[in-house]
Amino acid sequence: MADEEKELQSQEAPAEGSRGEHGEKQRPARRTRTPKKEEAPGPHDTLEDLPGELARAVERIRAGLPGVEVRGRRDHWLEIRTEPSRWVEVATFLRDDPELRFDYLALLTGIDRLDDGFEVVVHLNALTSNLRLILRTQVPREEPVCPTLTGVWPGANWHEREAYDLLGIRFEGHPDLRRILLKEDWVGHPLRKDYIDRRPPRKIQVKADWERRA
Amino acid sequence: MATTSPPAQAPDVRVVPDEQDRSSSHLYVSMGPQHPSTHGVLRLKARIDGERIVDVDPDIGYLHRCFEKHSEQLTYPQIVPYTDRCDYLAAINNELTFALAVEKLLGLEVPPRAQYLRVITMELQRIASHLIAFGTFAMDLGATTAFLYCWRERESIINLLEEISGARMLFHYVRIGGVRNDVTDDWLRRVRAFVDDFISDKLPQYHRLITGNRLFVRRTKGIAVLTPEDAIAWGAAGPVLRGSGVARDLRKVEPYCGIEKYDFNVPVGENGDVFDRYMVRMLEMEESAKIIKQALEGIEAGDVMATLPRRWKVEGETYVRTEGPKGEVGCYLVGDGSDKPYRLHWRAPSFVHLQLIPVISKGLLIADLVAVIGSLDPVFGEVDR
Repeated sequence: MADEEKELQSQEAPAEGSRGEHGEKQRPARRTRTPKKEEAPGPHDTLEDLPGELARAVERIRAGLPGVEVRGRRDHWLEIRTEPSRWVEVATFLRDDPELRFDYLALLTGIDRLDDGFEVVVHLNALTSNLRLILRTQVPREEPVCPTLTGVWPGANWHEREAYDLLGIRFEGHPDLRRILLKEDWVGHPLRKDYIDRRPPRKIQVKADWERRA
Repeated sequence: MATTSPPAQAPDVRVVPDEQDRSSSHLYVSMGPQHPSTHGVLRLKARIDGERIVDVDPDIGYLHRCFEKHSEQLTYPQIVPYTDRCDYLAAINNELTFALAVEKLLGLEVPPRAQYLRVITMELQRIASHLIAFGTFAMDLGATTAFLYCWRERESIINLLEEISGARMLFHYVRIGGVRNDVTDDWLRRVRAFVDDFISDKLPQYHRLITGNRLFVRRTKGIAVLTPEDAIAWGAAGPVLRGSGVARDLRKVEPYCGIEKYDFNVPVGENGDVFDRYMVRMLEMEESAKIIKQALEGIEAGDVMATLPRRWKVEGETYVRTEGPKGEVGCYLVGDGSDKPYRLHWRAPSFVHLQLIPVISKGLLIADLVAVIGSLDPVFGEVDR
């Protein structure tokens, strides 16, 4: 980026009153492209040097859950990405570990990532230490099955029902997996990016009083 | 008229007829969705044995308006009025949550005067929402006078907010980058007058009428106890969590809008019953008034809106939450670099609290179930979105 600017500056302004080969007035070259502003890092980007308690939490997670990727984000949330096969194991460790104690499930939601399937995202809190953690996994689109977290945090119950209702992610082991916001006999999962409303159109004829009498 | 064919049966849904256990004396009753005491369109499928509840299954979705799907096709400023309509009794808090989420992703800094105005309107809105919680809850238990008291005070607050925003309920006042417009000094003086009168005259009236009332105490003390472990495990927040003894207020834990400057207490209950949740809301109204007075004293002059980008390119992912009157209102926003969100999920506190109804109401009378719903204070705009 710096050498672009130097290139533009090195083009000197032509002499006053001179004309180009077709007789046009010569003007100094204008910058054709404004230089891009530095992309400011977002809250979701990785934070390299974590403050004390976050670094300790990361160490503890790495020690207790080998093979699981964990990072700290700029907005001071930790993030763990894992596979569905280890979902309940990771969740139970996070809840039961005496130093971490993630006992509060704030949110469980799903995102439709098109070809990458569905992403299940869980936001957790440790109320005693105010640690915050995001737990994510990916399930394939053809078979969107994920184990349930209701055994670990009962509060995940309705969140998982909503993710099933609107996105179609099935949660194995859920005590009562059925639609929650839509009617029981609804077909399809509307929050998916490829959802098309296939309900037949209703033709309602509105007639005024005098039209009906005629 | 053209005949319509029924929709094809979903292959993965078993439509099971409700099993009626005819051998026992249990009766299966549907309370709602149109019912004066369910605080909105809630259907409670209750299995009762005489007057006692054996099991309750809440059925929601009657106010589902596809907010999250719509927001994928709206630009960020266009989404703000939709957030109003989630918790329509506390519209400012919803707008604030969404605005904070977008500002975090854009890196926008809100000018200080806008922060003060946000705090003042947010706490006024908290008082207004708790007034409805108080009024409708007391009316459900039979105290109709309290219902009229709540609307009298709420009318004063709504008139104040109508002056600055033009609307009486769904304000569209807090916007991304600040607030919609500035206020006059006269308005600030009148807010101060309202708050002073509320604390010195009106709140004591409510306490004299309802809180010490023997009938009210008998109907609420010891009913539907929610233990702190259950409250945490089920994800409760706000007065429901604080009524059970857990001192967690997002304004203290994750402060926003400069609220850490203000000096206020967080009321906490002891037993986790219906009375404690009610009392937490009453005490919170007093604390809100304290915050408003401090904000009125400290308000600075200046702009009320930051400079917004010409082209909205919102990239990244964040979860921002605020302490709404009902609990933890959260906005999970995933941006994909364009001017419309890729995914917006609204964490509604009432949605999470309605899960608690089966947990805390086994064995109660039907009349107590009405008290339970009132104490959880759900708003169906945010439950169903």
